[in-house]
Amino acid sequence: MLAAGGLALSSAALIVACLLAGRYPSPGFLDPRRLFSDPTAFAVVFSSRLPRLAGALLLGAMLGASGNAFQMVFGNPLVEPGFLGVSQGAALGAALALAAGATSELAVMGAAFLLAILALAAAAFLARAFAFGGWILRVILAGFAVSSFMAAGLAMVKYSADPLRELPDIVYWTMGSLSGLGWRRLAIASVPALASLGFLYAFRWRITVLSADEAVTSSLGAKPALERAAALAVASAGVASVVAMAGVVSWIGLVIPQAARLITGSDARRSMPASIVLGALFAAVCDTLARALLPGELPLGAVTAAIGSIVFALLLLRGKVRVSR
Amino acid sequence: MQAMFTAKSFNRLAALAALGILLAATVSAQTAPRAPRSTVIGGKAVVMVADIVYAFPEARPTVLAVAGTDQGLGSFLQTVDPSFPSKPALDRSAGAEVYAALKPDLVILKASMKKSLGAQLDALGVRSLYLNLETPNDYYRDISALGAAFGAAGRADELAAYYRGIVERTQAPTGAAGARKAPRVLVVQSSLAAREAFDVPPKSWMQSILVGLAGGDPVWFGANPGEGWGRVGFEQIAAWNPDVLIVIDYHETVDATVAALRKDARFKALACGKSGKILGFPQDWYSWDQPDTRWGLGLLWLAKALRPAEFVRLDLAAEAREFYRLFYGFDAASFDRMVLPRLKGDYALDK
Repeated sequence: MLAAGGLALSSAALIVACLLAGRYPSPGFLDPRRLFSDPTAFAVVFSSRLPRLAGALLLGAMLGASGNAFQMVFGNPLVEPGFLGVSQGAALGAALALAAGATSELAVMGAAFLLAILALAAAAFLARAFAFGGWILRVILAGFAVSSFMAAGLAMVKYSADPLRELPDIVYWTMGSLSGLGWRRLAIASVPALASLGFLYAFRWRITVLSADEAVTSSLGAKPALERAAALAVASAGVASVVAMAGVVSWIGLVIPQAARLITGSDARRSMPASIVLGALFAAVCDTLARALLPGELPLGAVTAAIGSIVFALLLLRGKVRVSR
Repeated sequence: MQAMFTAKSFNRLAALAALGILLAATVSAQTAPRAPRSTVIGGKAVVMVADIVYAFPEARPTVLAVAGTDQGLGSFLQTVDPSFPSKPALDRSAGAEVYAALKPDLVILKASMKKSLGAQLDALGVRSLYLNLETPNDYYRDISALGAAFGAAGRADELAAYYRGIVERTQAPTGAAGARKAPRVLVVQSSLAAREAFDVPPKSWMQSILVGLAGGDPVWFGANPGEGWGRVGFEQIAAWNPDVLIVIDYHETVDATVAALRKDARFKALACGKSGKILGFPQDWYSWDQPDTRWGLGLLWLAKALRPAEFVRLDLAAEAREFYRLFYGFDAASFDRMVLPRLKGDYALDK
């Protein structure tokens, strides 16, 4: 109980620190007293940093939770939530919208979400249609094929995009960023993401069962094929919504579940909430760095990749990358 | 006798000299590239290339095909050349074979295209000309190269003189007259999330050069060390607290973006918001900040925006009228009918 309280307090302190860190009025931490005397400081914190921080928390929580679900269901610590083609699909959707001259953020988000779901549906269809290997292998192969197809489409759109008008937006989007996130875009992404998070949290004990071998899973009364498909579809839909909001942000869904399982063990009843909290905090810290480190914004995906890859290497060096069945 | 000999020798010498000149001219005609009779303008950033090529009346009738030149606000060149809509519109990413298939005498591209297309065009025997068009000095060189290519050196001198004249007119005063504090300027391209994230140009780009030439202090230098647009957030803008915020919009008319920023309470609290200096960069078919032929107009506008007391009498609409006359042959009626209604942004600086 004491440990949980301490954890909650340190999480809250970290979130407040993220809210106060930035470039205004000078690089570093803003003196909270300034909020009462400087209207610009108030606007910076509550209109600019706060929606962005909330977005980072949602993004990290969603990617952490879905990453944990994917790794548990596949029994493979190297899969991540975008691997069914969802991230690449969303990237292609956004790129197509931008190349078509879309200026509304809703249009870009909508196109990203639509193609992410389309990629998921295509992967599901191919996994069922492939006449090769067991279901895990088929899903992996289907995800690989769909991801590659979407990546090829993205490359073609980027190649033919106008370098002055369209290409910078597309490149920036594919590297992930919460820059420019306002309450409206956050609210739109929150609905499916929170629904997906709620489902994964409520379903976490079942995910532990699904991570077991086929025979064990069936003997425990589960319908493995149906329940695994449901868990993956809901997790992917949640990922699609946050990717549509923030662009492609890699490594959180790969590394955070492993760190969470290192702390809590493999049982999803504990590793799922830990993945949600750790993912949220990790994304918040990374986005604060992306926003505050240099005068120009760093792409969030680059920051998560830089830190995530170091964490991943450390976990591998210590032999901690695994999913216990 | 002496006089006769001299006259004979002189006649011989004159005949020999004439023969020499004739031979030299023949050899020269065989080796020097003749003015192209068919030209293709393509590649990425084609707008800048096409607009300067079309400023040469000698080049216009030779143009066979052009890559898409619409940046979102319409295609300008069809107002200059009535046959423009019937010309094949190439893809901006077209490969060397597409150009070769048109069998042009000359392909004109942005210099950045040389890496991907240069060797292939050479291998296919297609003559090419690459233009940098990134800085005022590039413009002087590239205009001269176009003049040489189309046998229009006089026209090239005329166009270069126009730009040199503008740079001289806008030069910030030195000494006591120039001792005033340069206004702190921020130039941003509005992004997709127009009021929340903004892109700043790198130091080497025309936008940055123009602010320096116009006497502004560009606050964003150092924020974008790259070669493309770099993103900054509102809080960095607040930390810079610029005296003048200049907004560029390539996607659509800039007025809506500027109006939204002027209404935004956060921007109202900044120095630029308090002094009413949130300005939309003028645009017609294209925004005037780019290394397009309109950069001279962009520089004049910036000078007036940043040093209004020195340019009280500068009439930007009149300057635009002169630009369209000189570069594209628009008479007053054509300008009033086609250009004037398109002028957007704070071109008049009357607020």
